[in-house]
Amino acid sequence: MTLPGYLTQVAAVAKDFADQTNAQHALGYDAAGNAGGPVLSYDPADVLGTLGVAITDPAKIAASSVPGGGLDAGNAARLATGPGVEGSYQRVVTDLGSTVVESRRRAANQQVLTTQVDGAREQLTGVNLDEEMVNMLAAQHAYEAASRVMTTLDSVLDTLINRTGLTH
Amino acid sequence: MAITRITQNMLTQRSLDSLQAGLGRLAKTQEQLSTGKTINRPSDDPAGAGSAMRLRDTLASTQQHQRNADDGLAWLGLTDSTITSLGDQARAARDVGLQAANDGAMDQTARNALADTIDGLREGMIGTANTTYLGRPVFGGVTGGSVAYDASGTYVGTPGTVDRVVGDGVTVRVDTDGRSVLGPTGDSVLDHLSALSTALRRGTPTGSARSPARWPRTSTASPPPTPRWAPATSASRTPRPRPWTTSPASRPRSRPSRTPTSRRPS
Repeated sequence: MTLPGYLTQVAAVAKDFADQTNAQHALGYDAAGNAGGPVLSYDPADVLGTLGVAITDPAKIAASSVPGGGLDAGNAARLATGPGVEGSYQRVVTDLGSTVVESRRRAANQQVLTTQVDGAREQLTGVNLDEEMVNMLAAQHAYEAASRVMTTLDSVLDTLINRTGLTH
Repeated sequence: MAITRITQNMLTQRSLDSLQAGLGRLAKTQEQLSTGKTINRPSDDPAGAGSAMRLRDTLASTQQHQRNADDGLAWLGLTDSTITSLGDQARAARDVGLQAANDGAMDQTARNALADTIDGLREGMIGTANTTYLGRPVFGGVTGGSVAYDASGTYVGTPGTVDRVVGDGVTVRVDTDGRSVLGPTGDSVLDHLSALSTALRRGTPTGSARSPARWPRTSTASPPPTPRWAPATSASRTPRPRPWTTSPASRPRSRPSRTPTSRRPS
């Protein structure tokens, strides 16, 4: 479900509400005794952007359920209880919430997976200071050993060359 | 995959991840703390959000029902006091009527004075019957006008009920039809008061043009020279009993003691 999809759903709820209200309103009679006209207006192409109250005169509200211009309130009571879009609106909201929760959980799962793969790569390519230190010490000792061999050889040659065969 | 080798990068990364997770939980808790709500958006708890919306719906309608009940209570309270006031005025009119009926020595001037009193009481009753609540006459039904009775005492209200919804499917009627309080058109208290006033001015007990049968003469063949406001006729000439039982017919035995002899005009 995409965001434009939710927008469409909310628009459908608004349109439903306007239609039901207008239908019930048309069954009543306003303060002058005339049948009620549309109370909510909208452009079908853009319901949410154009939804508005069509009447400005409070006397045009068709609250009466009997003609004749009385102050009966039967239709107002039906208007209050009749148009029922709460259910569909709540469904839209709950759907949205469920989708968000679902997306969050999948994102968390992917995060765990990514962390595991990153860890595996790090195990192969990463640098461990202890290892490096040990390796460095081993190299250093090897170097010192080699150096000692060289010194010893040098000393052997020195003895052979300078101190052998001389007659004093 | 068993972890065979740990690197410094892995250590720092893990620490950072744990810090991030803790910070996220802290942010969530702080949000709940500062808003005072567990559910700040539907995704926090979709099922709970649905329940919350339904509960909010119910709460709103219950609050409206409460407002309706308050409004209906005001209507009924005003109606109550208005009917009490009407009863008082009708009782006063009855006293005047009894005074006029029992004093055979009264001359026409005195009877005119009593007729004026009756007229005044009648106008007062019309005014009381036009009591309005928020601009609507409480006895006028669903009328859009401002009065339930016009100046001549004719019912001009519109029949219909003013209902207040005080619960799911529970409606209470808060208005009272004026004709059920003062009597139907043509037979209302106002009509009878007007007939009484006319009879007093004429000086004959047959002043009622609407219900002459209720005003029987002692002798139809030869009317007595002086009007006879005979006590025997009082039971039949009065309007029929109203719920508040102020008409003399409903309490004939109390009549002699209530005769206001001290108020006799000089």
